[in-house]
Amino acid sequence: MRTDILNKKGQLEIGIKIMVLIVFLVLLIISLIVYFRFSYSSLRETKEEILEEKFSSLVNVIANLPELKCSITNIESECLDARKLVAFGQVLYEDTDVKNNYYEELEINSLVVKIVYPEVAGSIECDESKLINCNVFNLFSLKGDYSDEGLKYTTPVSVYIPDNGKYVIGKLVVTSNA
Amino acid sequence: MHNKTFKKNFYKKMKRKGQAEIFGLIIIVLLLLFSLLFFIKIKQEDTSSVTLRSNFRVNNLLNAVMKVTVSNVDGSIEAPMRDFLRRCLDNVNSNTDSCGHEEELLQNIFGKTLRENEKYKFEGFVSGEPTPLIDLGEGCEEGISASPARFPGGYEFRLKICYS
Repeated sequence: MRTDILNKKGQLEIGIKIMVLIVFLVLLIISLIVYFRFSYSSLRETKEEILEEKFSSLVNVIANLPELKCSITNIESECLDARKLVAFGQVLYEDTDVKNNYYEELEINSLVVKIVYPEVAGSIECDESKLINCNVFNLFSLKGDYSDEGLKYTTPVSVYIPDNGKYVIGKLVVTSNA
Repeated sequence: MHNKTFKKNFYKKMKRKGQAEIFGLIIIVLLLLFSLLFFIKIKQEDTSSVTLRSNFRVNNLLNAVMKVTVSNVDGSIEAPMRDFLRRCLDNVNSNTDSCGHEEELLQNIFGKTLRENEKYKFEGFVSGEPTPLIDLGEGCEEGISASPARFPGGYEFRLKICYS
């Protein structure tokens, strides 16, 4: 009789222990899921912050390059000179060494300035003979196709057109691998 | 008789043990809740650095908007946007005209330069006036502000971008 009771007691305790273990495991799994979800989202945020920082400083550097920036009698102003953009694009297109130097410095896939205001219908590339009524300045492309491959970062920029003395609004588009 | 006492004691012990385990579980649940709240709090506090970095883009946009060459309604005069805005602020301040054309131009520019998930708030002030005379954009209360563009004569223009 006593052995029966002890057996039942043992079974009951094992049952209780299993139940406690199951509840504990469920809680552990839930807490792990919550923890890793937070960790994952914070990791993603950190990645975005690092990329934002990298691209912000990169775009800041590019927008302030003396090769591209407006300057009148050696006084720089906060805009990009359309003539300098065309010349810069031509030099990089023709001279591979210069292009490679810029790639080593900036580590970007492509660099394009697109005019968004005033709007020009279609996609017309600007060149030495055509600075008005065009809307794309292709400055740099690693592969030569000016594609949007990789991570893209854009910032509005003021572009000065010396041919008519007007300022337009463009978007500096930088693509790079993370 | 002996069996009965044994059973009674056994159930009493089990009851106490069950209570102790439930108490333990409640503590675990409470600890988990506190850790969850702690994570949420930490997550909410860490936002300052992003704001600082993104400021660059808004500053660029305000600078580009102030410089862009635009024309008046009939297209006879071309000048930088800042000149048109200053003139329109004077007109609004003296109740001689409105800023309808300038506001239309600004809306057009922001529509072309901002992303789909970005909203904006553009304000134009004249010194001595606490409320903005130009107030464009809706649904943008908390966002990233550009450094105000100030011009001689007490003109001030502010731009804020909000992300949804």
